[in-house]
Amino acid sequence: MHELSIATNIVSEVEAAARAHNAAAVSSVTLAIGRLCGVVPGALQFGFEIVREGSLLAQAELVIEEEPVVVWCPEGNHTVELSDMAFRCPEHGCPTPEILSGKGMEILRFEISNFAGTSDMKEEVTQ
Amino acid sequence: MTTPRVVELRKNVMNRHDRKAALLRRYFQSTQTCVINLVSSPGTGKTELLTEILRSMVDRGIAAAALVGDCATDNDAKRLETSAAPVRQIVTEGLCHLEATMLDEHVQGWDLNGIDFLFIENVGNLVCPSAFDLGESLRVVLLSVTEGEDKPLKYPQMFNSADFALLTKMDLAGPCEFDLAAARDNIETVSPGMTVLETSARNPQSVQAVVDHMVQLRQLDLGSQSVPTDSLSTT
Repeated sequence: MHELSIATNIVSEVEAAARAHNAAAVSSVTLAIGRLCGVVPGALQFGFEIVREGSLLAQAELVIEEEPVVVWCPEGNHTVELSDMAFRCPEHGCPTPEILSGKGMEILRFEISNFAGTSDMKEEVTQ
Repeated sequence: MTTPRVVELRKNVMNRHDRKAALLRRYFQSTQTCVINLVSSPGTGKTELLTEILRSMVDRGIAAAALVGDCATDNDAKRLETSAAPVRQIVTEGLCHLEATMLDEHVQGWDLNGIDFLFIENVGNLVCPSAFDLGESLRVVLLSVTEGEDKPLKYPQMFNSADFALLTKMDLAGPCEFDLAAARDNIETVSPGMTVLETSARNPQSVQAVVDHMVQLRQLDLGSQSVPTDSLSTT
């Protein structure tokens, strides 16, 4: 259940960035999660709902975009998306040890619903 | 009225961990310590094999130390200490994996200068530890013959993230009717080209071969680092 620890990271990273933008509340966070990074989206959602309490993300929704595993086929000299965890080119049948994407875990963006302090108009100008 | 505003962050989720791991890696490189992260499911014989590896290294005059992570108890540290190598225990109090910050706390004040190998025995778990970089030089995954040959297919992320694999308890391969070829095929499927060594804590020659492989990889690693010549001459 390392997803709880990862959810804690997400909340603290987004909260710090949101504060820097003078946010009072964040309404959504979008992540890209590689299929190779060993994170279960459902467990991450569960962890996120626990750790977001009391933060600027208390009302935030977590949107998870799953990133496919993309490898390099050395025989056909092309990139190929794998549909399972067998590291073999579906076209050429050769082993594909070189992984181009699918290992990452990235916070893509977040959406601020409320700004702190002064009027929204002023915030718009200062951003 | 509020105006929603989208902020493109593009930040690695593991940023905090990875930064700490990068600092640790730099420290380990400065002391020329090869750090080996041992990962496997519980019961593959990590502690038993590591005790023999440490013993073999101590006998050969290779300076080795170990950090062992468990959810509870210091039983494993006590077992590893019988090798005469310095050992520290990390009790995770239920956490299913080790993180770079925990490692950092336990490495604090430990002078690794002159330590050639530092082993990290991770918490027995084939899922969670795969996501956490500890600043290690090598990640080694263990699969014992008492487990199913298809473990690599069931836990592809872990096997794929490893630098090499050890098949352990090979002395029991016969009684367990372990299908060696199938196990090797399955590892090859999820991690093409990865080195697989067969070993048993009961067979000193096989432990020697593992130590030889580690020594070789450490030399390769040291060779590839741009270490200033003055720091090379001190060891």
